[in-house]
Amino acid sequence: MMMRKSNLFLMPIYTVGELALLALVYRQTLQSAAFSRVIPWLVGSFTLYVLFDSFWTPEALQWVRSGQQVIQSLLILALAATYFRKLLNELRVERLSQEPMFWVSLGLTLYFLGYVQIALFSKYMMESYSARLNANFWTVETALNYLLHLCYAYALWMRPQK
Amino acid sequence: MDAPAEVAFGPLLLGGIALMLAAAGALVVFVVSYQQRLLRQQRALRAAEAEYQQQLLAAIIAAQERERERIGRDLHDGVGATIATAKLLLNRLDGSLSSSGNSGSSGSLNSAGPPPAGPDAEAAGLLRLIQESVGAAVHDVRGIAHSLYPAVLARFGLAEALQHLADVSTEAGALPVRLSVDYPRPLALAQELALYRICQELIHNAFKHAQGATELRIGLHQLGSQLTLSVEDDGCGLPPAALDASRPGGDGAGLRSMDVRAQMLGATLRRESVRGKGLRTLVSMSNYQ
Repeated sequence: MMMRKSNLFLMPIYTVGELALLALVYRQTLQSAAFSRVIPWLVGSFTLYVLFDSFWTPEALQWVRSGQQVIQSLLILALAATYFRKLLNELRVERLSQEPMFWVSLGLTLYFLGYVQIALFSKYMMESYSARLNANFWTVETALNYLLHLCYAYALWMRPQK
Repeated sequence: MDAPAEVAFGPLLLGGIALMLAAAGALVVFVVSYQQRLLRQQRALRAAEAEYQQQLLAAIIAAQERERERIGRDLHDGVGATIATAKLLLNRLDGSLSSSGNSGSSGSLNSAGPPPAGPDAEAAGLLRLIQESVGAAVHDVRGIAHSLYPAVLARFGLAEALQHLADVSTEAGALPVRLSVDYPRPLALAQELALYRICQELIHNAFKHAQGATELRIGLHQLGSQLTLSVEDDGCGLPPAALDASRPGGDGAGLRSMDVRAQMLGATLRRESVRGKGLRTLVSMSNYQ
């Protein structure tokens, strides 16, 4: 019989890594001095918070940490919103459907707006409801994840506009 | 007993997720449609600005041409006529002094005989100098007046004006200008003037920049509804960056002026240059009125 071992200790690393990488991508895209100044502080503060939240209690790494997930979702939604604001302010992109970062931002907006509620209630669901209901909602999260990665794939596949 | 609570929480959360996804979709639709609307507005604004700019430039060029014509006429008919009269009077003075000199003992001031001596010789030298200066002034004033307003163009049309320009340029410059014209159906004066100015600027540029050139060829040809003016030299050519009139900080006032005149004509202006093989400028008009 296979021994089942929780891999949730990877979750904080993934959460910080995902935010840091997306912040770098948006820093490159937005080309804003103010944004570039804020980003290291934002990612640094979030990393400290994740470290503190993960190691504060011994059993923390055995659960999905809702706080970390919700804050990461909100920060990434803020990055996407900043990109959309830049799109409307500068009007440099003629055809949005040919702009890779538009598809990345679309995927992130859809995924994180859906996921933020699952993350918010994940611990409550785990403690209060059946495994089947939990599995159903994590299936919804998986579907959103597919959607996000389809958007990533399309963005990577297309030829960027000059 | 806990089934109803699950039933209540499950759809509630699912509804919440669906609502958020709908909100995300609505946000994206809003961003796309609003961005497209702003882009359309921006394009319309740019088009209006470009049209206004075009009208402004056309008005400036028209005013410039009127002013040139006025100054040219004033120079030709006013200062030019006065200096020409002065030259005639000097010739008359010379003639009368010669005849009085011939009848007297001191000899002619300006004759081929033995040179006069004393104050008469000095007066004759001065008179010759004044005649030369006045002659040069008449020539210069005519040249400037013609350059400001080509009277030949107004009187005889573009073909003759280009021939005159080519002759004057050949005389004035170090580069022989060869002209070939096939122009059976003349255009309106304003259009001919614009083509003449473009040609004038191109010749000026060739004299200034076409180092090592041995010849400048000008061609004016009409074929059906197509009219082409070409100016070509076999000099050193220009680097591609120098051909762009709109480049920032460039010394391209002449190039810009030619572009504007070509736009006013509804013509296309193309510059082709190969380093070391000269520069060719082509102005093409089709379906002109």
